[in-house]
Amino acid sequence: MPFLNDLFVNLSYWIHGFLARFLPLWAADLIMMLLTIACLIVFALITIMLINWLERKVIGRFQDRYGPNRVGPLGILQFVADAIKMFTKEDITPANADRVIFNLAPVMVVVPTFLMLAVLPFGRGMVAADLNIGFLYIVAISSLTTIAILLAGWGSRNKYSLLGGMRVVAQMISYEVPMVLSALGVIMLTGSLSLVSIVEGQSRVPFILLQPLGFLIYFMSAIAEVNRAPFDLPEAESEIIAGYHTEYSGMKYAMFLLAEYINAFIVSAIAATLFLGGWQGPLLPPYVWFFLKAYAIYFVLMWLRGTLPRLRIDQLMGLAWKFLVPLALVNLLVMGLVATLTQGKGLFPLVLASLVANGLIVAAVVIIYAFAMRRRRQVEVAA
Amino acid sequence: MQTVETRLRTETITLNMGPQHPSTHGVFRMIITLDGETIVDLEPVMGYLHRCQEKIGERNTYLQNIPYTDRLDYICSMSNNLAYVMAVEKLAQIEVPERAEYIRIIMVELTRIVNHAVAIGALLNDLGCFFTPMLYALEERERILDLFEMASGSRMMCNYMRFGGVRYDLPPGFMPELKSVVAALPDFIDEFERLLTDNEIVRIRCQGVGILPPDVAVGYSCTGPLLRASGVDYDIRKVDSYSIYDRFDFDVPLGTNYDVYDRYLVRIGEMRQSVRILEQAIEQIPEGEVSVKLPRVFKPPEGDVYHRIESPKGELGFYLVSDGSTNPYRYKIRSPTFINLIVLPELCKGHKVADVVAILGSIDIVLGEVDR
Amino acid sequence: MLGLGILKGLSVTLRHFVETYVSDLKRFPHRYAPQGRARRLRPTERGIFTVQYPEERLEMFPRFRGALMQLTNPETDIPKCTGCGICARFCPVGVIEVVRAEEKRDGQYVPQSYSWDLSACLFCGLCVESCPFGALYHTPEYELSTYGRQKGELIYHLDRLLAWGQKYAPLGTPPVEQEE
Repeated sequence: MPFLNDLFVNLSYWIHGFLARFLPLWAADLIMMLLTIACLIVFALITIMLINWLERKVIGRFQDRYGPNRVGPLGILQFVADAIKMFTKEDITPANADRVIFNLAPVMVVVPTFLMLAVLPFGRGMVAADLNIGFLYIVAISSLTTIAILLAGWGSRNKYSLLGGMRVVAQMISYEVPMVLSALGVIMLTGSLSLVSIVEGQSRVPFILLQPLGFLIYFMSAIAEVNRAPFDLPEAESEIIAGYHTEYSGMKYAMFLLAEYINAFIVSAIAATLFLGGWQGPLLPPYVWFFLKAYAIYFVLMWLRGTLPRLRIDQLMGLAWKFLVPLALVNLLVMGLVATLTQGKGLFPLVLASLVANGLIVAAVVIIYAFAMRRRRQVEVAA
Repeated sequence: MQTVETRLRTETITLNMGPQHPSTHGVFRMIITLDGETIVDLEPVMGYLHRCQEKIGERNTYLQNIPYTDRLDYICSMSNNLAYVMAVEKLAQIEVPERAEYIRIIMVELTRIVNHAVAIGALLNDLGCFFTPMLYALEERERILDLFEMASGSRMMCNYMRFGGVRYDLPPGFMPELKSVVAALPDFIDEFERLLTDNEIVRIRCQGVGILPPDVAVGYSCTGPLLRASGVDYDIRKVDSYSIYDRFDFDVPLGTNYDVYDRYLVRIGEMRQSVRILEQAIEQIPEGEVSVKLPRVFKPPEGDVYHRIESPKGELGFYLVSDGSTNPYRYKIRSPTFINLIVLPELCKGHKVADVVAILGSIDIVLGEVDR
Repeated sequence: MLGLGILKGLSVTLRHFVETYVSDLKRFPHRYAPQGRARRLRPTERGIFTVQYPEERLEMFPRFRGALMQLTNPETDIPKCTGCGICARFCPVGVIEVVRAEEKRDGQYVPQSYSWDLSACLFCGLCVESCPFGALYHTPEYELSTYGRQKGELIYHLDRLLAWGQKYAPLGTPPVEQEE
């Protein structure tokens, strides 16, 4: 169905042509840009409604119960009820809080999230800004969230919020390293940082087949980046230090929630783009494939949230620095070797060599782990 | 080259994990003194749920006290009933018919399964699993509570035991239902284990945390799964056997590493042993009477008695002093969780803040029993 | 070891997830139990475990200790209760207040007033157990909420208890007799 495939692209051309009849070209371009921005923001808001609904229903199903099913058919309007609740809550600012920072922090958390939406390739030709440093842009912008959270923790004038905020910063900074390193493996294969060319580079085979280990490392780091279970210690309710958003209420808290959900979606969208082939797929329109893949990864995030307990902060950091970073470096090295050795020899040798190399890395890790465990058990028995 | 060691003057922070908190299993307060992330001292503050049960016990007659014992440890009401009723029977020298003994054992072992399932679910809920193991445990609990409702009329506050037996005989639909529930229980425990026991994150959070050496445990007079996970083979059902427990064949699981993970494993093991006892009791239960006719105005002879049972949380004991009238003169409850809680500071010292929640969950407190 | 335990746990949760949809499909298109009478899942069944309360309700077992009722003697149409006050004495909390009427009716004592305070009742059943005339029993009523307790809405008097007695008369026998 070529009509459906290029629906939005054709629509945007049609609107542009329509506007160019009355207005000078620069005005038509400006209005198209504003329209794109408005579309992205609306898309983000609809996404958060959908994600919130989906999360509650899916986690309910994991627990043998329906999720919310009273407000609206199948509980679709539950988010509307929650939003109304958040609007009508009293907006409390702690007495000694640093007002400027306290009020700035929620805004600073949300803005990078929306900025990241600009480079996601939603379909063939459907990307707001095709930057040729797409992935670098995303890494840079997601680091802005870190400082916003630190501002939130500091501005609350609450020692537990500050501690929670510092933990989040440590976590986010530590997990950026393996995230970037594992994505570098993919970027090596395509030779470009632009997300559009990464998707187009997967036209024959998705990169998850070539780098399954890279995918796993990226996935784990991404979950830790967005503070989802099992890495959600900073916002855990059952720990003492209730996190950087303790002192926020009402609309500001809603901003943090918004940012968290959209971040989770963006991270799963990027994982779909980098490793699963973006918008490519038979039969269905490209944008439908993109959403299917992004939501499939988001389903795995929800699945992990419903099943696993959370890690303690020192265990979190140990996992990042002692396990993921060396593994990501080894992955990068081996994949680089494989890519150079099988260059120009065709598709099948590349896939085969990659899978074999991944298997060898995994086997090496297992052997080292078993060896370390045996050493530890011997030490325990001897002691 | 000389290395100079400087000592920075640091201060300790006092943190209040207040009475309202999602993971303190009730209104329980802890005042924690921290040095950075490590705990230096912990002071438990209890009493927020004190309801003067012991004084009310003196106002009530012996029969009227039974509904009040339901509300001590509100998850295991049948065990509390049993402890009190057996204490009064010991005081007044009342013989209990066979069938009533078997019915009591069935109810108490079902209660043990309920309690351990809920305890493990609550522990994992505090560790961060978003309520999922708790809801799986609560499903099994629902089925067992249906059995309790079938027999006694109420799910939680059963008020089922009487002096000399139980209130009513079991209804006709009870035994087939009990058999189907007991037949499905090993599968439930297996599924629970598959979800949790090998889970690396559960292991990392629970192993090596909150180690309680056996001599310390005995020194603080801990009882129940806490003591058995510290390797001490002390189960009142074996050591000081009461009712007809000597007719059943069951083991007592013990822990080897004395940490939170072992307490979890001990509870799972005890659930399996309870299923064994239930299967034997279902086979052996005879027909007959279930209660003894007592005078309407019940006056036990003068004297005092202390009777203890192995409740799911530890040694639950009742000390009754009677002066020959219809009301007890002194009604004292030895509650297991109150005494187990005293070991909490010892367990938490040197650990991180995030471990306190796990350790508290492994002691398995219910505030109704701690504060009475 | 290295993630296998986590995968086992994930498989358990996924199985629950899939089976809720399978059980939903089996019930399709009915979402609620027929005639609003839900039943608990058998131990071997899997699927959605919760009962959707106002649209479907669980059946109470015959021995369920719900609200109280007073029975009337069917032949003479006089309440079976004689106002002896034994139930009031056996109550651990003291929620029952009985006053015996001075004149007998047809040769039987009757209560002048009988009040039961719902707000403090433990629903323990000691009053039912102790009634020597078999006048007081439990009903399966549990939806007893009111909008306030200041105007005595939670104190039930003899007329209301007798009305329930008329409605649930078949349940007015000791449980062991009912089941035979």
